[in-house]
Amino acid sequence: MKTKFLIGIFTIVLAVIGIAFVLTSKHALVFHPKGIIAQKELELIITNIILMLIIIVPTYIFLFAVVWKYCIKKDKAKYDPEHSYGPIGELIMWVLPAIVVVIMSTVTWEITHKLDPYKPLESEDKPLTVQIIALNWKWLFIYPEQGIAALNYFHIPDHTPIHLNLAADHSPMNSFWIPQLSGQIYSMAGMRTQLYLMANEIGEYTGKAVEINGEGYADMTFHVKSTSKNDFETWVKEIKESSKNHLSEKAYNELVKPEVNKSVIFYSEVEPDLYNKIIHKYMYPPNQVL
Amino acid sequence: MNKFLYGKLTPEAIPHHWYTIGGTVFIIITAIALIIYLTISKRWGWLWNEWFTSTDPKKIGTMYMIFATLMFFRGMLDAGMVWLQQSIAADSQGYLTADHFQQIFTSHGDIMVFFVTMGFFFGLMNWIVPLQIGARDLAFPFLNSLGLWLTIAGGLLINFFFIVGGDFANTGWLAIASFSELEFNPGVGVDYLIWSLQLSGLGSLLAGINFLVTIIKKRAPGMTLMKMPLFTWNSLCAMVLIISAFPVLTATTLLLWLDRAFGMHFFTLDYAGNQMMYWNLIWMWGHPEVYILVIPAFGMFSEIVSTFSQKPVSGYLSMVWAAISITALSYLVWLHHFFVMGAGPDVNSFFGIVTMLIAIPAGVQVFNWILTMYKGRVNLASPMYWFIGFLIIFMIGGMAGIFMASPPADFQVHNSLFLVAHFHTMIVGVALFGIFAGLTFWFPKIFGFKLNEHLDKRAFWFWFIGFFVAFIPLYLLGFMGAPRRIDHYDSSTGWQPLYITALIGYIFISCGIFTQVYLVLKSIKQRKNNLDVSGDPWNGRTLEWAAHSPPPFYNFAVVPPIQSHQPFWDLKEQGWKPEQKYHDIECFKNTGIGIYISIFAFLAGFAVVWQIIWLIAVGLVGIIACVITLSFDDEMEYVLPAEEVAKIEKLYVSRVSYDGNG
Amino acid sequence: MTEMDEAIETNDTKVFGFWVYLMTDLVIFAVLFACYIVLRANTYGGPTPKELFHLPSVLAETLILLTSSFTCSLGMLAVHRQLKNWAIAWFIMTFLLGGAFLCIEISEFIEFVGKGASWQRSAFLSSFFTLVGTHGLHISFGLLWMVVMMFRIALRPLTEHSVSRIFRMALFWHFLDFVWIFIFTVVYGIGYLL
Repeated sequence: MKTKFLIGIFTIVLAVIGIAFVLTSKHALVFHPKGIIAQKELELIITNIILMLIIIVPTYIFLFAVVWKYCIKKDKAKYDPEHSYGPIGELIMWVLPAIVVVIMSTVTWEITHKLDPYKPLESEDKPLTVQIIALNWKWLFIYPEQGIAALNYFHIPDHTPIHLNLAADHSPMNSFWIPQLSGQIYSMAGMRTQLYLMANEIGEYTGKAVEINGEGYADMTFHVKSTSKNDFETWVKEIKESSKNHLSEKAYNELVKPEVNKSVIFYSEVEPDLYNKIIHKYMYPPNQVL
Repeated sequence: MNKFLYGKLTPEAIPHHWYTIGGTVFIIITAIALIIYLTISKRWGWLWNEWFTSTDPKKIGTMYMIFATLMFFRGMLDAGMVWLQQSIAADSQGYLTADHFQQIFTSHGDIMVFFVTMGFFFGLMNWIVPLQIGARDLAFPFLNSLGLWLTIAGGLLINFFFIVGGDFANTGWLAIASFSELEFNPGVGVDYLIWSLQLSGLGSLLAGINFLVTIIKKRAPGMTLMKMPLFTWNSLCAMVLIISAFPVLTATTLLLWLDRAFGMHFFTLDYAGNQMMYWNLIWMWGHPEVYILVIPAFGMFSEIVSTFSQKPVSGYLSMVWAAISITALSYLVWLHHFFVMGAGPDVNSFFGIVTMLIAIPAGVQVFNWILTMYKGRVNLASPMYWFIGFLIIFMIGGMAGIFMASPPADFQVHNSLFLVAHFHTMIVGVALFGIFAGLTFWFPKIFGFKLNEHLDKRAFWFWFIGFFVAFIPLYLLGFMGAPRRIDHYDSSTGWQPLYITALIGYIFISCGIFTQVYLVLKSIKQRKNNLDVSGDPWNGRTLEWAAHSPPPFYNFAVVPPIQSHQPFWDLKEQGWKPEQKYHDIECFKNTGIGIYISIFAFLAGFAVVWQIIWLIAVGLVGIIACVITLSFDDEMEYVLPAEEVAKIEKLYVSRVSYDGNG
Repeated sequence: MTEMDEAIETNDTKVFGFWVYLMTDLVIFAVLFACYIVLRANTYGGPTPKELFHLPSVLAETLILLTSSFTCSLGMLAVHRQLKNWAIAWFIMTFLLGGAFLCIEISEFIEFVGKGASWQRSAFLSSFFTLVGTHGLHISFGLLWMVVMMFRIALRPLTEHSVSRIFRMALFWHFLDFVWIFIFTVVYGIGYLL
């Protein structure tokens, strides 16, 4: 009996060490935020875990104590089949979790409003607007103010709020996720969804698609790079000067065709107002005036 | 002409992929073997008269459970294939194509939810609820048979692509639009999913109506609502959820089918369809559904802990109100399945907060379960192992759930393996453990002999350890940015070691399943040593233990008096003996019409999938003809005379002694 | 319990069960209504409710259906009074009115399709045809059930059991009338006026 108990404790300790090891490694992306939104979300995650542990840990202790005393060592325990806590006890049982839930609810209300993906970030810098179109099975990033676009490549300046406008074309529901920068947002046809994020440091990440959309689903990843503002400007300039690719309507229609495309392509020219056209075409037939 | 005759059927529909053919061959060989066996042993008549046409809820319950067991093996095989693929597909495509992989986890989900968990629950409810409330049968015995056979027809249809079609849906278990629309899924896989869900959904709905009316109208005299045992209370709550939620599933999948078959535009991308509408509707069903899966398990655990602690359940009133509040709250939380769709912070917070409210009744239940053991004298029989394992796992899953109820936290774990770990924690740790506990607990009542305790405990340890080894890595993988449903990934993500750990957990669980199979076989072999002669092997408290093991088809010759929510305990304390005065008993005849309707329904479902119009007509006309025939049958009941009852009772009474020691 | 008491209790249970079924049917209609309300503006540049709906025929359908509920009640009264011939007569009347309702509805559908406003034209039209069409399908089943019950009245004695069956059919018919009030208001009324 004692050996089994010790093996159990040993296994649990080993598991806890293993879990800690995994979560502290650089692979635990959610626990290593590089952007301000992801950082705040991690703070919330840890707050939630602590609040819940306040109820759960004593409950586990209570459970194990009761199991020990009344199941395993029951000969020494008092048997009282009439035992009951009465109405006051029952009331306390409802009130205790209610208090924790009320606290968590208040936190939830506030933090959900603070971390609303549609809420602009506080910063002196003007936000950089990026329009993102989810296609089967690739991601298109348009920089309307700079007049360039990129396929499967999301380059942003650090410490600058980025205003993402998302949509999809000939693709079902998609989910846009860069775990180290922020949480997800869906992108769908005929609708504009938004996300604000800001990178805290220079780095390279992988962005993912997180809503199943067909055969190429697992291949729908994209490169993310955050650099200094100067490096970003240089990159924009380079593309405008050297890239021969134009994102014309014809080129865009080629991209819409359903096939996996993991290549990185830079476009020095973009069809004007492409993003809005893509959204509006779902609401009205092509031959009708808006 | 060909289109009229064959619909969309072409020679392409004959399975020709290597992976499908394995299943095809297996199904065909098993079917042929079964037919040969039944013919040689001349058991067709027995099977038809004793089992298939029966309206006895005990027989129907057993058939539900056998069917659920078969589907369970299929579902576990799917799970194994998924785990194997994910363990080896680092920097490679693995052994499955993306499309095939997606089909496998889709069918895994549908089979486990619709046919395994619901099948087992309906099976146990059919057996135990009438006994617990002192009823002889359900309110509508014919509907009971129909519900069973429609569910089996649905189960046949969901597997039928192995015979005709070759491909199942690849959309995930909910056939989410717009991915499930023709634009992205022109094949018949999604239609197979829709129509097997329609058939089994109708079966579940009929069973839900049946149990609801039974519990409300057919209780023994003296059993008020507040004297009902907790398993019956929880079943009642689950039935309320079924009758209000399943019609939503019927309607929503119907609309999806109308889009696909008639070119309508409810959820399509073009012609101004609204795919978000599908998400809302399907989760308006989906969330109550997952509570349908766990609430009966809560009830079973309440019975088990009070029986083995030899103490009434702590806080009966709170437990009842907890079940009712969870039921009520489950209608108000559906949006938490898609916080990331951008509904705005007001809407998101509302649904998040209401989701968190569910922690209150859940917490109350956990406290009361532990308090039931407190100052009890606990007999650590194997159902208690499952119970304690459930409590440990439930709190982890509940924590994960409340964690995700906070929208910004959910933004980082939605659709990741963290989510997958959470819902498997609930379905495996609560629903499945509940089923295993319930089966072990009520096995002597159902089959007349106990299971081998030692083997059941060993099975428990395999499942319990296997659960942690399999699912804790998935929680971690969620935090490592691993999306769900991906068929391959880069090894630079560092995910592979955790996937492999999860696979080892699956192997543990499989050992648990093999142990359970061996357990049943060995217990059958040893049954003469473990006979339950008294009907009360565990010193039970509720009415089902007052019946014989197994009970005669009319359950109780004389329904005992009810004094509290633990009627049998009261009777034992008072030294009650059943009187030998017998009355005529009204019984329901066997009928094959439930089977005929289901056969026509299956044909119609198959025909709808392949758009074979004449066959659809045949199926519909057949169903209507059966219903009309049934409507003219006024002689569905017969009377069992008191002398016959006396004769049957004599066979049992000689074995029984009601001295409270079992 | 006497045999009569048991029979009454069983029929009570069956009627209760039937009410529960009607509630589930109502949930299906609720889903269809929700879809209609969400999608009614999604005309994709095509025909709008105002352009299509013909209020006079909707008024006719409503009056016909309401009258059929009345005649159905009269039939039920006759059944309770064991007046078989009157019962069959009133149910035939109800059947004819129900048939007339279906004729008007089908001709409305044919007219819309002829104008290019089929269920494939837009999400609004898909939800219109589905909601109204589902109600029409229920009416059709109700008519079939009515015929079967008329045969029962003609061929079988009107026992408690038979009366209960016919009562459930009548309940179904009234339920469909009830749903029609909502269709009339939400689909045609709001669609035309707003």
